[in-house]
Amino acid sequence: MDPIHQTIQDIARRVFESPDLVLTDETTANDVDKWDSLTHITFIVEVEKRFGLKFRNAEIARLQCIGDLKRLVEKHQARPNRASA
Amino acid sequence: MTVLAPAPSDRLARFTADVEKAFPIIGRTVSAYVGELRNRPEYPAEAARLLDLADRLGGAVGLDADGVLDAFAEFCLTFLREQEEFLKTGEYRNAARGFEHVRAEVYDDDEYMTSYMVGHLLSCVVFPHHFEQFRFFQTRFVPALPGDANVFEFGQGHGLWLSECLAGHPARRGTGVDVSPTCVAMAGEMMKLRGIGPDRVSLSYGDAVRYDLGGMVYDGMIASGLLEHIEDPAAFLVRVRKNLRPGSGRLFTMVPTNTAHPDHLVLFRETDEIRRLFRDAGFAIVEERDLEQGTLGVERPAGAASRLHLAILASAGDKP
Repeated sequence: MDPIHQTIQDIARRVFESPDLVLTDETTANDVDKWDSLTHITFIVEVEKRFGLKFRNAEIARLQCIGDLKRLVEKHQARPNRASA
Repeated sequence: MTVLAPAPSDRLARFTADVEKAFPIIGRTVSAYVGELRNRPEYPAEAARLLDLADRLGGAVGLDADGVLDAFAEFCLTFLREQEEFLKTGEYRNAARGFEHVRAEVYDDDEYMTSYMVGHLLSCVVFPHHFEQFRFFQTRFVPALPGDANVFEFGQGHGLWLSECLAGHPARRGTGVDVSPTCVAMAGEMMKLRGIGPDRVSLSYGDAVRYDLGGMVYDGMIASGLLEHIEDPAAFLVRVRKNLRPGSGRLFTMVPTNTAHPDHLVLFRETDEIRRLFRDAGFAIVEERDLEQGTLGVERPAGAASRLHLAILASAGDKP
């Protein structure tokens, strides 16, 4: 498993209180219990902190699935001046 | 060829579908809210009118259709981010930093304020408590103003409320003062869109809380979404009461409890705190509405604090 996916999955397991949660790139909020708009923010804030990034709100709102989130992390990591946590 | 405008329900359905497609995390909740609001007979037409205004206002300030949708998402996500922090700490993030910090972080940020204001306007279409507030304002404050009313808005933002008082009432005059240059410009665009000329409305940049009202007497004052943004709401209310016309004059406000935004400074935990503020300042509460805030799909835990928004119509009261 790639490290970004592993990290995101670890965070998701904790935020959504589901220790056995397995995420795929196609996983959406509909597939996970307790994934509502507020826990979505908690999840994203934890991802931001872990990777030392800050996403725009519109980017967060447009996420459709875990694959989108991974691509967002990769996109921000590739930027030369990224926000630190 | 005659082009027919879309039926109100079509416009609303398209907006809801656009939000659900673009922003799945808030889309389902938005659709549920709209479903609830559709039970009101006036809702589809009013919603379509506000959506049209938001589109045109967005266009006037440089947002395309995607930009207008993004503004709505920005508004929702900003609230969720701040609320997530508030639920952990029990305090508003910027409360201790004060107004000047918020001015620099929020009001002086043109990109943020453009998005925030257009998003807020759209929230009046979608969030039941915002729509209720708007209807309370439309049906209880606006029609009660005399035909030649003089109205002052403290922090007019996008200008919707002030323009609502003036549109269709050619003898009324309005003044708006706002601490955000972006809002001054945006409200100017709103007035143009609604056919309200500069001979009838004065919009200026400044601190509305400290604005010198002199000896002016106003038939209507609007201080909605203001008191939680200023450092001393009690002193503000005492000061402005003197300029509200005795007897028939009305001040309209809406104040949230336990609801975080980056520019919220004063935390009201219960609606009684707000009522006390008005009564202590000498106002008489003529009419009010308790508006339950939607939770954007989040189940509120047992014992969680109230998130009522209190809308008040007040008169200057009997105290000298």
